[in-house]
Amino acid sequence: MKSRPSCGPIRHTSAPYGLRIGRSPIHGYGVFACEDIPSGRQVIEYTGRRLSPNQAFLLKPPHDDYVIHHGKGPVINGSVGGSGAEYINHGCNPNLTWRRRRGRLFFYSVRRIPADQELTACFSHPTEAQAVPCACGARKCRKILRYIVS
Amino acid sequence: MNKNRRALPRVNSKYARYRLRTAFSGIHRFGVYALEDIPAGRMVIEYTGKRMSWAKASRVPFEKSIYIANLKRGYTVDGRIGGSGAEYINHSCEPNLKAKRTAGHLFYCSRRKIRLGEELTIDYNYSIKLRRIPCRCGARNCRKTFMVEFAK
Repeated sequence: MKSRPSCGPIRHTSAPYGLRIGRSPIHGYGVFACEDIPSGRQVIEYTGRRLSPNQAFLLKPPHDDYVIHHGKGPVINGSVGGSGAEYINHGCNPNLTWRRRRGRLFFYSVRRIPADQELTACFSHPTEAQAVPCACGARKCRKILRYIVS
Repeated sequence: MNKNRRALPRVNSKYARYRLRTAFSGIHRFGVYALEDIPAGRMVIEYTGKRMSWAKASRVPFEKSIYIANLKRGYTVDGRIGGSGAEYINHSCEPNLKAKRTAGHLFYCSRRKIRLGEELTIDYNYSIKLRRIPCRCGARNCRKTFMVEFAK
């Protein structure tokens, strides 16, 4: 688990544009742009401790809140040595996209981001659950065998 | 025999302590049936297959993961590859078998007396508690759900 962030500017070598951490209307804290960011630019790198898939499996909540699984390669735990990118919130119409380069993970802008707008990225978590009915016919049947989460 | 018709799966008698056979089931597709009376509390069949770690099993695509059963200590066994026939046992909410896990092996034992011709069933113990986290991103095409995960 990570302690509360301090609201203020992000100082990180991988953040060429002015960014700051602040209270977000979406959830908890968020990352905001301090200046206009053009479309298609590198905005910030997602840094942190690198974990093998097995190590990431052993992390129990809430310690896996900032763990990011993205495609092949190492898993990044942003709660240790994070650049501030771990505070970026989810948005269904995001203004950031992922790109993985040489095992490093970068956020790029997908459109122009005006100053003081919150940065959002799409975290592809499962959002739907489909129930499989149970046909066992027992007296105390639970009616649902399992959920398929997708 | 018609080439397109798949043969009925067989129970490997090497891993079964009692005479069993597979047949079509009223619950779902194939089932395993007892061909003799089985007393309560006996090992009936071992669940065999390819052993792999939990982390490796999580990378198996969903369609190929239906016969994966959990062992102890983060290991799983995939009945799809080298299964004994125990993977065809169906689920029931009032089962007549229970799983017993001993060092690296998974056995199905009878919970009560099983009569000749009865179908063997086991509780798959799937988690049916869900937690839905709402999304508040405010986008026009918002999916309203941020994440669905199994509650512990």
